[in-house]
Amino acid sequence: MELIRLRLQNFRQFRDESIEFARGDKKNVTVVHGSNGAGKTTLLNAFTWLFYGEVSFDTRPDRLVNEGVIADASLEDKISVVVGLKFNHENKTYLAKRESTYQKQTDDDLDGVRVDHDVTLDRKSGANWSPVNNPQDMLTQIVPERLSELFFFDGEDIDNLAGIDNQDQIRKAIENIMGLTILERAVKHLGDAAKRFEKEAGDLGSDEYKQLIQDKNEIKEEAEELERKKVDKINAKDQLEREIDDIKMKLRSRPGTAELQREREELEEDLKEEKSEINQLTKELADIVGERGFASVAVPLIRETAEDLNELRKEGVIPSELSDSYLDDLLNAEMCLCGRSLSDDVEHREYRNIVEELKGDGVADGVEGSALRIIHDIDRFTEYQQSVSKNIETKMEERSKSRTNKEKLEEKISEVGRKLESEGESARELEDTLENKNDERDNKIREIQDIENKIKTKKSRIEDKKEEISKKEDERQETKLAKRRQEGAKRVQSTLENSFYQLKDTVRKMSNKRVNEKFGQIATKDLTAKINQDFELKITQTVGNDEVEVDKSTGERQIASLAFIGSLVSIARDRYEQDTDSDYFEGGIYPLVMDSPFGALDKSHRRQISKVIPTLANQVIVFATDSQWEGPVEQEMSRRAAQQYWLNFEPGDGSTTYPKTQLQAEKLTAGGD
Amino acid sequence: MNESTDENVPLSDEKITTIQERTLKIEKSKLHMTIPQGAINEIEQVIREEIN
Repeated sequence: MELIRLRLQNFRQFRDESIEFARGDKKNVTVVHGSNGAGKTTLLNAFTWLFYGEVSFDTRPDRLVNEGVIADASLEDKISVVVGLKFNHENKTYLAKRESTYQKQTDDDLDGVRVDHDVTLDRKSGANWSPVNNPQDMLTQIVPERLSELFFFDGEDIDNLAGIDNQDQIRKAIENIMGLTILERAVKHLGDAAKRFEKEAGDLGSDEYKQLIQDKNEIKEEAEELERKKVDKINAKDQLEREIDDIKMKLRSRPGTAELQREREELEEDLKEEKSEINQLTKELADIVGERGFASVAVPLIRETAEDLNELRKEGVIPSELSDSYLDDLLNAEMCLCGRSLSDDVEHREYRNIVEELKGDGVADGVEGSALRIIHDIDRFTEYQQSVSKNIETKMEERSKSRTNKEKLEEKISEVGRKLESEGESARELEDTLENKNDERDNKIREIQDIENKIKTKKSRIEDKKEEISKKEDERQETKLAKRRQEGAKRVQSTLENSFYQLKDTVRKMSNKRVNEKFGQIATKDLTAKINQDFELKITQTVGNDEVEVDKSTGERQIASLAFIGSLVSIARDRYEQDTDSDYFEGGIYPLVMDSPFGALDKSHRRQISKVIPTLANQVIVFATDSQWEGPVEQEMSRRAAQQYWLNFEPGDGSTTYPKTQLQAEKLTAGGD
Repeated sequence: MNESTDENVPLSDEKITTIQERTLKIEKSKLHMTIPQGAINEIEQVIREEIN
């Protein structure tokens, strides 16, 4: 998208004014100069009103119509408020216009009532203009509303983008612009469609089948409810941890308690390590018992068996000769133990042959051989058992040592706690609060664990039900078809879910790289900006071998936010220019319209930002006061600015004259702060 | 071409790809909407058409 010209008629303090936008490759910046209250924010609102019908004004938010015009109008007059924008988009020229018509209700009514409203979008084809169907849809497709805060942004608020409360906005912005939203929505909607087919199959199927589906869905709902509870508990636990940190900070900063608190934190750190060691040893012990523990039970049994066998051998019960003579006895008696006849007649010859074949080496190998092997191997089994027992003993000794250390550390920590309590009333109160918060936090951790176990059980039951459902055969054709459609929806869902996670990872890495590059171009300190695994914008500093997150000054937050926005715009542009065939990742070309992007910055940061802003997008429109512009910003940006306007604001007296702003392409001596 | 109703024959990869492409097209056309109304109905219809 490339902005060509904006026109405002009767829009707030603008009677009939136009701006032509810079469109050069190198000279791509348009600057609008104006003092506070002259109309810079109104211009920004003109864009959002045109595209989405929305405005955000601090003063008189409902008054859109020009005060001077409505004051001069009669009750019958209809006053049109119009914002029009000519722009290029995907090699076509468009003219968008939003128009609201107002009528005043009383002689002194300066707000008026809206009596008509219309949005039009015309597309140029050759020399002719023709209207586009569904103009509002088209406008929101060209610059999606959810991205509007990124492309039409108020510099006063921009530093908040890197603040703790706006990380969700960053994640959403990345997901939207990179095509993740399409995939995420598709995965969700396919899941919903699959559920519908499942219900359909249940409605058409047997009572038993219907009941199975109902049971599965009930368990699923219970599991979802538990998941929600888990999130609440985690949030509560996180909140408690923040409060605990605050109290510790207070104790660290008090002269009487600082040293004790530091000592306690060191002890707590040791205790954490000791607990982790105990957990690790417990896990190792469980593994040994699970994998090799049978030796302790099996070896005595094997030994007992071997001793019995040896005894039988000594007594001559087992040897093969005895077995052969026993078999001979049976043959002589022509009767098997099982009752079959072993006579030599034709009818019983077969059985007699089998018994005769059993005589000899086969029997010796089968019985005596096995007995000898067991007797021989008993020493090896015993060695194995001893090594397992030794290993268990060592681990248990280590664990016992760790437990003693843990108890000692806990005792020392309580001792420090007692000393802290004796440091005056307020320290005691802090200690009491800290103890209570610690208990509450520990309770929350236990509750979370408990919920997780319940969720695990529910999930396992859901899987069981699913298996029962899939095994359930139903003869009706409609049921089969519904099940087949459900399977189709699930297969597509699964494929797209995989694509979603792969793309998410790619996008995060890409955003991270670009943000870091842009931030590096602007930031003056030895800092790094990055998008972490949770899509949060962080600023870090290398201290020794560690990378630590730093508290961000307003200037750095603003730089990080600009770096982030610039990165998104450049990724979207690159993607668009690559002309890929992706179904969900097209990119686009977006202009940047920035109101006071230099707000809270010092001179050095302003200079750095001014160098980078023109490179952030194909087209940049900057609104600035004279004091923001003069000096480093002017030095860096004026060579990139092809169009400059000054807002000439006249406040009026409110009875015979009213606020009015004119846009002038020549600088007036009275302009500025 | 419609998918066979014989439930013993697995759904073909081509069929799955077609449903996927049509689903993404629906989502793309509704990307500008804060709440993409009608998306589930349209996807359901696509699956009915492709597997019947």
